[in-house]
Amino acid sequence: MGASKLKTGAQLGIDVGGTFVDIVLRTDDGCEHSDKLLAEPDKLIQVIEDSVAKLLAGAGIEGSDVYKVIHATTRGCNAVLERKGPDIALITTRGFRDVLQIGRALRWSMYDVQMDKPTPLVPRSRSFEVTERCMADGSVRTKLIEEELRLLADEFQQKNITSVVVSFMHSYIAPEHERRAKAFLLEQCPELEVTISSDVSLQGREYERTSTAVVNAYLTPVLGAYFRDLAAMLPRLGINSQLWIMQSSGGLATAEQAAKAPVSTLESGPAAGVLASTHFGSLCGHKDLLSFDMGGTTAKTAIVEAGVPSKTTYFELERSLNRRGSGLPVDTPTIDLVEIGAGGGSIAEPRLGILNVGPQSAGAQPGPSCYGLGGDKPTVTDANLLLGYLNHERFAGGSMSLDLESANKAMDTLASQLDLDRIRTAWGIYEVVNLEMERALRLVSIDRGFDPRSFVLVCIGGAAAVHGSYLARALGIEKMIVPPGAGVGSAIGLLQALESVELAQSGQILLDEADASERANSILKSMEDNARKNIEGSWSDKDLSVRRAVGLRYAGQGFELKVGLNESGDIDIEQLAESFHVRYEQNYGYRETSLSIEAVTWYLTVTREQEVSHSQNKLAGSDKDFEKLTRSVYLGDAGFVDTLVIDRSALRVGVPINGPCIIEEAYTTTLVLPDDVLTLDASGALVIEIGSTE
Amino acid sequence: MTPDNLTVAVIWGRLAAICEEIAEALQHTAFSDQVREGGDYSTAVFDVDARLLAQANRSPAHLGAMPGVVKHMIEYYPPETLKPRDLIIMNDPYIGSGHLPDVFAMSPVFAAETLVGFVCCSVHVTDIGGSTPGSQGVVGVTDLMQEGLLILPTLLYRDGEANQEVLRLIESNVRVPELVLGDISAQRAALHVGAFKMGELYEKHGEKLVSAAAEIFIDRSEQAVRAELAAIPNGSYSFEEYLDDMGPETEPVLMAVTVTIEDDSITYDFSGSAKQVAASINCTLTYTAAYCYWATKAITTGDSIPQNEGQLRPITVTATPGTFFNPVRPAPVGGRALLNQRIVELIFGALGPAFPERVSAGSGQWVNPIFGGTDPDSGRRFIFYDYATSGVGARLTKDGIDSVSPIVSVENIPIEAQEAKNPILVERFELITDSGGAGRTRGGLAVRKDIRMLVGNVNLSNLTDRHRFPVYGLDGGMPGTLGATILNPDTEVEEKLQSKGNYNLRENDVVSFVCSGSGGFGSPLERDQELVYEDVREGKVSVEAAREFYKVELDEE
Repeated sequence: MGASKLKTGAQLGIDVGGTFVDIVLRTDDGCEHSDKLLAEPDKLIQVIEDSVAKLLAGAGIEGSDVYKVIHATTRGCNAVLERKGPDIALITTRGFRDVLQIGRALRWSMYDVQMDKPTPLVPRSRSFEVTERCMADGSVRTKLIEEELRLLADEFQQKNITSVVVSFMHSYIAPEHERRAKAFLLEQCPELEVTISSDVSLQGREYERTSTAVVNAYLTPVLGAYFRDLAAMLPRLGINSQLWIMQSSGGLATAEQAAKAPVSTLESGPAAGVLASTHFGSLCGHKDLLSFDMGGTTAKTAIVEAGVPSKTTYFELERSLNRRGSGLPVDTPTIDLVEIGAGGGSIAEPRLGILNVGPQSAGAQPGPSCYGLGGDKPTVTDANLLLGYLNHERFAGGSMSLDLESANKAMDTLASQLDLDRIRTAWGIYEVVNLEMERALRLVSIDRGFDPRSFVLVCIGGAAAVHGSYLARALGIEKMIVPPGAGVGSAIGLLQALESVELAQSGQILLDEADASERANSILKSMEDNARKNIEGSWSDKDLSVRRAVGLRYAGQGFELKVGLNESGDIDIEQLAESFHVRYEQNYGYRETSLSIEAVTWYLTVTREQEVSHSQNKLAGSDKDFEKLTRSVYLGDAGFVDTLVIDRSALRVGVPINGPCIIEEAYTTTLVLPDDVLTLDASGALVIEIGSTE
Repeated sequence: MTPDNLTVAVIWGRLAAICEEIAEALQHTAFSDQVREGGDYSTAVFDVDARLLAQANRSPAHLGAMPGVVKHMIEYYPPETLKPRDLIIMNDPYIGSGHLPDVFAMSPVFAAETLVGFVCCSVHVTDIGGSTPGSQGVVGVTDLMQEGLLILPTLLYRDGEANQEVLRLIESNVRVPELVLGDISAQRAALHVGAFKMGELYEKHGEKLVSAAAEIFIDRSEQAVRAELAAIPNGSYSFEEYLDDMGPETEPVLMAVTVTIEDDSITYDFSGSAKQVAASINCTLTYTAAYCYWATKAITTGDSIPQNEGQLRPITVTATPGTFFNPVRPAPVGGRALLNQRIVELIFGALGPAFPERVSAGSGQWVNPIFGGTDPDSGRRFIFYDYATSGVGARLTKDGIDSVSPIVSVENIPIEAQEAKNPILVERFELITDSGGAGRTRGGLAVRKDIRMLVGNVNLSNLTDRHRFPVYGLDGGMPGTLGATILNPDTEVEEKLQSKGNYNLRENDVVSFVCSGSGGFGSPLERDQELVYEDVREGKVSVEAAREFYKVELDEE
């Protein structure tokens, strides 16, 4: 390995967030060139084009050397938030046009007289019904009356409605009526965009499935046009590669595939962060990981088991206070992220005289008090600054300096309200926000049946590594990793994404039935065939790997525990049953021996494995001794302690350094606590052995 | 040892989180739709003195009753006799359950072999025996003994081992044992999770520190409620209204409250209500109190802090024994769930004129029908437990909410799930135009749900109200519309059913549940015309109603 003379090619990762665009160009010799820019919505394509041109020039390569371009964006979430999508019409089975208005009718804030339900993307005035009805067993009770669709099509033309969602009862098992409705509508008005719910979700929950289809239709024009514009920009830079879009599941889709199912890209940015964790964890030899991504306003946690991020199929857009039912449900494969409103910008305030942090955030404007932009309430970043963790002269790569005076003033105001002193208050903020994040880490691990003590914590995002060592202690975690470039982790994570197709299919089988094994194998076989069909023509079918899993429950229950299956061949029913019993017992303390086990949802993922990563990070360490600089840092009970501060680029590979110390670099800071031992790994990652766990 | 504000925050936060984690385990392991999809359950944690430390925001009825339940259980099973992994159940309405289908379970929590507290959860089981499927029939039930299996505190698991005799007794007394025993098993799983996590917390911090922290956050919570109450001028506020009836050919039932605010405490007196009735709809005092707790929290601390014992201390709830809101054994209580929102509406009706910014106008009545029968294909008994929440009344500065409960956090069970498990077909589930009372701010819209029987010989026990008396508007706002239950609507054999009654349904019968509407707030003439236009455009208000109530003329287009 090492630096080769010939540059054989490069990959480009573009992560568009709410405020910033992160771009990483990585050449095959392991060099990384990155850029961070403001994401100005009107000029976005131009901004990206200019930046990529600059990076190409800086790297001394041509656009034609770029063989892969991968993109993640939060534009989908923003479009929904700002209600910037088109006027959509909804057509349902007769009797159910209010499916979105009624929803699950959950009182998500129980004691709040002023609460409101989430506002659907389609109002009642654009919700229509037609006569048709299918049953839960898939049979047709009432045939679809096409004439009613004709009248609706006329009405859509009059009202200039260009996008329609069709969602019929039980279409997850009986999609035929929806398909006929779509074909008929397209015959009537070929210009119409028609989305059918069974193409988007196979959930037997009418509200969630309809909501998913509507979100998809809502995003199609917004993201479709954007993906096309972005793809069209590439040839102007001489780049011939096609544009790949990150999906919420962590897999890649072509821009065309993504334009058809934009709902599956909503969480692409956070998913990329988890991939970065997975990648660097594995470079350091670890496959069971807790990914911890903390930025300015939110923290996201995810679990990676055996090198594979854990997935879910449910999340909500525009959720309030992380409460279920307060947002718009979306049913699509997503990396299972627990997201909490706690980040560097989270504001600390007294509540009943007791310290409370978040979920309100100072955002980028005015930002934490120490930004000196007028914020007068202390935030987590202010606390970290006063505790000595952050360098006020070197924040965000030295692009801004922090204002200690403003931070002090804000902290003192809060301290007097709490009857504490300044530093105790700052320490309190640090501990309370850690508690919040500990809760997020618990939710994604212990509550999913995983013991965090057997996992390695990976810190991604600008604010994570200041809190990581403390959190690791709280959860009994023994090792923590801070990848190179952790501060722009998502963009780097993009480069680790693989082409993949994920399928989920219901197929209820009682494991104690005689033909269970046969039926299970046949479901898995047909899923694999479908996945391969899906791939055909989009990307190469070489080096495909298949992963399979199944959601199980005791017959009669409603929720499933997911159990992994062998990669190929027939499944062993007895072993599967035992795996489930064991998993259930771990979670709930008991197994139910008198009940049958039922397989419900089957999962299959086909991934094209990339050539073994050839990227060895260029910044793999220094050969000189570093300078012995110190700073006074608050370490809890020990109070302020003179602590070694080291620039990351000055570390030597494999030379252990005892905590406490602080590692500084462009976009993040790592706090290494007493008794921890830090080593720079050959991959460029910081590996920290946690000294003592609680 | 006095913990500082930081330690208090850490312990308080963790206790609230444990309640949510118990809730998640319960929902994930439950067997009935109302628990796993509908959220008809509750969880809470207590210290060793049975003091309520925290609870998850689920059904307020269960929550308000839990402190009493735990105290009764440890009267039967003194703390020194309890072991880890024990589990006690009970469903006696008169010591906290409120009605027989609400089964409470409690497990002791140990930290290093010392008893440190209790975890508790309740579920609404699908059936508990008695005269009607679902055990909530109102009519013809005059004695608690007709309502099903009554379980006084009973040790169901000892050291993790089930008492098979007790399980067999339950199995033989309920209509759908696989669902009922399944949900009880889920309670066991949930409390196992809870006891482990709470034990962990105590081991980490030590019992003394946790107790001291609890003392602080409970006291501060109490002070928060008291401070809000003190800001309200002293005085007595009364309100009364009627329950339609308690079955065919019965008289309305008077319900009355006097709310007295004296300095920083509040008293609710329901003694002015009717005597207890000879039908299964009486409301035990614990259940009554549970919704007084809800109302007090809503007008004081709201959702800002989790519920705990401190916030109950400023509250007194009284009613003369033998009256509707404080019946004495063996008065039957099965249908009392209907009254949950009515207690709150009495209170909001009383306080509304004085404190309009803290309340909503009256809300639409929810419906809670239960269908029971046998599926001829499988030969299995089924019980289809259903409910539909109407809307919420208008608030001072904004409209009410369409189709959501005014008080509880149960959620709709997906119709696709209901149809997959029961021989029924839902033919419509929709908002009702013009059902929200007109006002400066409008009441939320009610819903209508039509259900067709796909098999014959089905017993319907209907449970709803406001077929005769609509809910109030406030400050000149109009009342909500009346509700109705209609058999075979829009056919020649259309027939009005009683809000409470037992009916035998034939195959292909359709029952239409029309919820009553919610009240408006302020004069409709003061409503912003643009909002009236929008309501008409969205089909929430008809052109005729716009003309009649809002005096706004619109073309049919």
